[in-house]
Amino acid sequence: MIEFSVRSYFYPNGSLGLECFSEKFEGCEFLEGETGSGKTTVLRMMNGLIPEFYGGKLDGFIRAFGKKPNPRDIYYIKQNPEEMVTCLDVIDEVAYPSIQQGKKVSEAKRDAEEVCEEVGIGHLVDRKTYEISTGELQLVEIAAAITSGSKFIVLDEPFAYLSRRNALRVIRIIRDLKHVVSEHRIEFEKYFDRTVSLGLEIKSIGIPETEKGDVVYNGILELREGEVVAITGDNGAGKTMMLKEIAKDMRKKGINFSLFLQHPPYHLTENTVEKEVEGVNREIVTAFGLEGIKNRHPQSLSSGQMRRVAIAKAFKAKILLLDEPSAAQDVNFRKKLVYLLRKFGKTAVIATHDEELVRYCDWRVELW
Amino acid sequence: MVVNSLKEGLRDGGREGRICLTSATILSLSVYISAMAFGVSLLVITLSAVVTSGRSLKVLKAFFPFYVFFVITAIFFGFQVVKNLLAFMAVISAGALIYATNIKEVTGALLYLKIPQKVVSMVSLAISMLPLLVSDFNNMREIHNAKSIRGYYKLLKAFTSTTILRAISTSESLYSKSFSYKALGELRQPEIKDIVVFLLSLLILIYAISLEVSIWTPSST
Repeated sequence: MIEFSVRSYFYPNGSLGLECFSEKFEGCEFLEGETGSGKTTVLRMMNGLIPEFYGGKLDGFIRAFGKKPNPRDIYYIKQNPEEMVTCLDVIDEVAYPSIQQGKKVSEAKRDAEEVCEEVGIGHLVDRKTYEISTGELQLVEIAAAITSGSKFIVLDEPFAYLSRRNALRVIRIIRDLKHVVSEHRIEFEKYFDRTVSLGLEIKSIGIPETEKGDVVYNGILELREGEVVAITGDNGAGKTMMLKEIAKDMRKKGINFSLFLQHPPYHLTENTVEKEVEGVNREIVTAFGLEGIKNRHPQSLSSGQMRRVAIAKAFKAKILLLDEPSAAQDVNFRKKLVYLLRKFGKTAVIATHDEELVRYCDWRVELW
Repeated sequence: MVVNSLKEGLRDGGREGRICLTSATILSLSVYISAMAFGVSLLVITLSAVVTSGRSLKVLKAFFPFYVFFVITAIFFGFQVVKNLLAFMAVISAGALIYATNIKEVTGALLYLKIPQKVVSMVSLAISMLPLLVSDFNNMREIHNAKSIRGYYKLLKAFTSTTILRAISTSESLYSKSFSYKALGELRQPEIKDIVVFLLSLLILIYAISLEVSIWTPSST
């Protein structure tokens, strides 16, 4: 059991991470909240990343199984499983935490193989970590957590990059383990015993209907001005690849567009947020909540904020190609995004797993 | 191109780790001892190409921009530069011999050679991050479509900051995995083919030494 009694926590740069939070986590909990509400901070506190690794000023206490939180008891899986990778071979990746904890290599690998079979990824043990899909990598990291013998697993937005089918598969696997999942995709909330909310107000945003203009691109797809198209499909179906192909084709044809890929730091090259979004309509900047952080260095922001800056920057072009724009964003963001696309007459192609976002698009391309 | 070819090297080869590591060292030494002799350089390039089934040639191709630099230098410094160029290619080929084995065997060989676990685990982690960095670099190239100096500057800036953020993320993951500097390595008995590679490397070294000795031995006439 993990017990929180936190009056305040400030990150080393002085920003407030969490305030007045008292809670007891028993396992099978769903943690929800708006972007920047402190969900990741709570998860990082569970295994001691905060304050042991990050530093900062903590007023209050956290107890995991009656003692100071530590990574041996609580296993933390990051939102992007690619950033968890420490080995090239899947079997080594699964055995790695146990080996670091002092288990013999041969014993750890034997355990890892058994766990992989149980989790249903036995066919992956001879593969390379960089060859498998994000969904499979997520399962590999869960298998590593089980092999390590941790008492509790903490997952930070595990469904952000997963198709519904893969997300349900993860839920099935973690069902028998003690776990906490922090997530923006609240459609999965019903699969958990209890929801802990850090404050989430679902806003009603009316999405205007717009007239579609002339054809602005005719290649891999046919796009009309003002049209918002979704590309959907399972993990590894080729959504990102298709987006990149469209980008390549548009570049060849001399069409002005902007491409947003999943990892926001790719896009940020200026020293302040204000410079990044120079030339973007102020309404977009305000709607994305960037006014208050306009003097900050883009790389110093949280991953959710970075994503908003990068998407706002993409609004400089008439055509936007967006890869999973709603990942790591709260439920209100998807509506806000489509509202702004419509209002400013933008044409967009969106690769996404987010069914809610797809509902607001004009039509979809389903990849198999 | 350089980054992509480094990732190419992560595909496993069939040769034994310790043999590859020592042969790579012996071949580099041979180039140095022979004072960058043509024959030795050519032998090293050929042996590496055969052992790595041509993957070392892909690495050589990746360094093409450097060859242009050598060619330009040749205009000012003459034919000697061609000799230097060949030696440069030979040293790269010798290093590329590592491509003939797999990373776990290389770390196993480093541990066998009593290199501290801390150093070996760092090397192994750096290599494990390589595929992610290669994919980051390729993605950023798609976004920034660098065609001007300013474009390249932006690409470099984004790549640097992304790499730093990835490093922070990786260290966070290491904390979560109770990282204690334990390195994973593999050792196995060398096969006959491995021993042949080692012996050929030794022969090239002997040839390199003999060339040097013949230069310094006074002639009888």
